[in-house]
Amino acid sequence: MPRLRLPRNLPALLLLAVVFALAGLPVLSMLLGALRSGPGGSFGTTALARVFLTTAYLKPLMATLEIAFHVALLGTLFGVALAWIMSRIRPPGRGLLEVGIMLPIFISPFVGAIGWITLGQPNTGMINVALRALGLPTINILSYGGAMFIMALFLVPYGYTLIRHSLDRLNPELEEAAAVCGAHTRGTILGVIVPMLWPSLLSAFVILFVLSAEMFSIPGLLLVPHGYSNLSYAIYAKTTHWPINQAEASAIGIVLLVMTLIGMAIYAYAVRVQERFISIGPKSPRAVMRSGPWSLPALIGCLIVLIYVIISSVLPVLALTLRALLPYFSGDFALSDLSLVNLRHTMADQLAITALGNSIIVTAGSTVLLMMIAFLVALGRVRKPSALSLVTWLVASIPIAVPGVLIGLGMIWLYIRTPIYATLAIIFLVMLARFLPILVRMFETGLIQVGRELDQAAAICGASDLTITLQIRIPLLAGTMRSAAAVVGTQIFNELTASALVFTSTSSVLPVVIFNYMFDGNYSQASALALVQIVILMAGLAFLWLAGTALPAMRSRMQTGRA
Amino acid sequence: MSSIRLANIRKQYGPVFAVADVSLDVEPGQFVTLLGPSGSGKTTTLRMIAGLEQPSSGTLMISERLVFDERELVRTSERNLGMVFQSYAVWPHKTVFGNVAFPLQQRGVAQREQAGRVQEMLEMVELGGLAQRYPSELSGGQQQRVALARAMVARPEVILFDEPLSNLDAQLRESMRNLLLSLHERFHFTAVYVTHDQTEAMVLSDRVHVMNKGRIVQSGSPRELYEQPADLFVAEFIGQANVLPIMETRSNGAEVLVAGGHWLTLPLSAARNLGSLVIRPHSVRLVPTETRESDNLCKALVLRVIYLGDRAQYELDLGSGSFLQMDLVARRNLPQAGDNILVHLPPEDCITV
Ligand SMILES: Nc1ncnc2c1ncn2[C@@H]1O[C@H](COP(=O)(O)OP(=O)(O)OP(=O)(O)O)[C@@H](O)[C@H]1O
Ligand SMILES: [Mg+2]
Repeated sequence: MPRLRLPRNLPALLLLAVVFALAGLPVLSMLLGALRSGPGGSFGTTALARVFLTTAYLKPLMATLEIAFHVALLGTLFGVALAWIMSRIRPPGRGLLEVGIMLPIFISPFVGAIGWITLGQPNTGMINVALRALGLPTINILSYGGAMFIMALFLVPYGYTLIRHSLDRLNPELEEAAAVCGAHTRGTILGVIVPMLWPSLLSAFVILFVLSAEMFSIPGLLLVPHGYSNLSYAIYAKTTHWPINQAEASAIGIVLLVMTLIGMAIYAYAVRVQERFISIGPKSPRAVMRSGPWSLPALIGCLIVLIYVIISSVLPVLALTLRALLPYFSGDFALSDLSLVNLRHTMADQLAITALGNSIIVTAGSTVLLMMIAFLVALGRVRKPSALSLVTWLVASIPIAVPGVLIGLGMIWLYIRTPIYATLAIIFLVMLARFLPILVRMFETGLIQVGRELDQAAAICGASDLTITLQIRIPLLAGTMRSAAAVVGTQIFNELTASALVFTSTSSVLPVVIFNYMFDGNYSQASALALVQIVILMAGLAFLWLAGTALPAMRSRMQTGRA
Repeated sequence: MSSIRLANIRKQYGPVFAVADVSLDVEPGQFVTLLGPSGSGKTTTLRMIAGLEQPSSGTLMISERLVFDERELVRTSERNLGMVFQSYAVWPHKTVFGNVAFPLQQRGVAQREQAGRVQEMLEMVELGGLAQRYPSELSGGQQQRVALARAMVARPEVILFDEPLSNLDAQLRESMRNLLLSLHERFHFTAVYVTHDQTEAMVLSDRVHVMNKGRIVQSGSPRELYEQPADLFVAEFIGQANVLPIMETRSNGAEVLVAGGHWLTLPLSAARNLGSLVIRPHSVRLVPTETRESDNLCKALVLRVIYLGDRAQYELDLGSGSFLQMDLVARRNLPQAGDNILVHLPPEDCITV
């Protein structure tokens, strides 16, 4: 009797509706927007014609490809060097080095760029002041090369993670076998490592390509003044600067979307090929170099990684901190110059205060909401396979292939003429759409690892689905939830590309305010606020870490005390 | 009255039938096993009884209550069962006590009563002192006993077992089998036990259902299955069997010609479905070469002898590409490889299938 089946499906149908509204609708309205004259306007093909039938956007398209290509190449090279050192030379202090390599993700490329501008701007850059004092030629970070360098530097962790993962799973005995067969180091690299590693090199390259193609903050700050704009920036400009033309932004968005879709297809292909090369070997490979942790190669490896950590994290954060604490920045300073004037100034800005509060509310709130929705989507996919749960999962995965600017654009089309638009809710919606896929993936992996029999054993005992979730699933997923909160919380707190399109004075968040300070040339206040952002993020992560390690340790101490 | 009744249950995954058509009745307190090779559909059948898998068609009743047909579906949690998984599936974040108390909590048993019943159950599976331990602090055998205790503590009428002992070593398996038997004697639950190990099936169960390719091919007591296998599959799956294809018959089927050119006499009671003749290796007799007067004598060449301590396993060539296995109790002066010997296949031990 269908009457009996309907209520059983109802929660799943509701979930699909929510997921579709969050992740499907914005993308759909962004695409449809290309066919309109403006929000609420009539349908037409003017925008499409201008983007696809004239050469107006040829230059930004070429610039996008060029920037993305260079950044991806540079980032992959850095990434493979670091991954090979960490996986095969195994330098001392790997635990700390690992954290150091990942730091750029927490700092965010855009805040890193502020640091690097302070270090390398033509006259007053701190590095340049030092170089000039030594009588050496100076650098200019506000250039094409500078922009490539910064973008690559801060995207390295994404490429590194992929390559490191493959290197760890590729059995080093294959390399040793080649060496035993008489291959020299070069022969081993060309004959064995490259053929086996190319899929992960390709996937790292593609991911970096896509990430840099959708970035508009650094190109906007460093390249647009030179008359060099990419597609992503063009979309940002068309929605925020006069003359506003969202339809044209949507039409450009289609080009960008096609680019990322092709990228994702190549990525998926590379991952499939990679799976074939994975041989079953020791869980963590032994060092290939037969040398102790304090041998020369190990020390050199350690030094190279340290240099990366210094130029990607230590120097920019240091520069940013100094600039935040110096009332007047000239590249040179005495300790007595340091003051809190900038910070006080910034904290007197109502916009900054609002943004600070908003950022914290949005990060905490949307992380919690996302965890609940993603958990349900993953639960359906892993534990209750059906056509309905598969469709829900697919819809929830859509944003993975959609650049942040396009999500922001979709939100404009959907909500600009509704009361939601002027409230913080719009930022919540942006975050829920952008980060649903990552979180679903994390919960999926977590649930698969937990194993379904632990759930089923509870059902056999008579537990309802709710009881199983509360008593079995959530406790077993505690680790996954903590790392999910850290990863997604960080991404949300640092989110700029979509928020920058939809914010209003009541709904601004920290990265957007910092970005706008930068755009107005107000570097000191930008630095001060960026410093605040970094400190809050670190405090939040420290709290999660404490909750993850200190609390369970305390609990178990209390338990052993009781026994 | 039956405790579990499956009628024409099927389970289809795409084009394949994991379970093709199974009907089964289990009486209250009976211990039955589903025995079959890998992929024969045992687990799928068990999981359908548990409600962890939904049949594609058929009817399923537990304790005289309809739990599945085309319009009715009772969830796993409402079926009032116990189940022991191959992977133990004890919850790593709960103590032994927490694991075993869980079914009582779900049934709303009062806190005070819970503690007593859990402790009593833990004593029975010899885990009395370990109530506050976490599963990671237990051995595999102890974890499986936690799983047993958890399945039984609420005294469900039906308990399901999916190869619960297959992760344990041989010695531990035997002691667990004995524990299981004594618990069954004590509680008289209805047990459905899945295994591919025939010894386990024979030791534990009142009734064995042999499965192959998603169907039950024969049901019976262990002895019936061994002595009167319904077909070649059962004959070969339960115990060791020599299979000699039948070429010709005479005397109304009382005598058959098998490969190798030997005419053999069958017992009077043998069913006349004459495809192959089956004889167990230990039924083959070694007789002195000068013996003449008996039926069913075959000349054979010893190809290989394997000593297994208490007995010796012989591989014999009957000629014309026909081979035979024979088990002898180990003693002095046994024939060696290369010897020509005479063997006797007693008619009463010849089975035809
Ligand atoms: N989820 C599934 N999707 C597709 N086919 C399945 C699925 N589950 C089981 N099967 C198939 O159904 C058949 C029966 O599987 P089942 O697990 O019941 O066998 P089994 O008798 O328990 O075997 P084993 O002794 O190896 O555990 C197998 O051929 C299996 O491949
Ligand atoms: Mg099985």
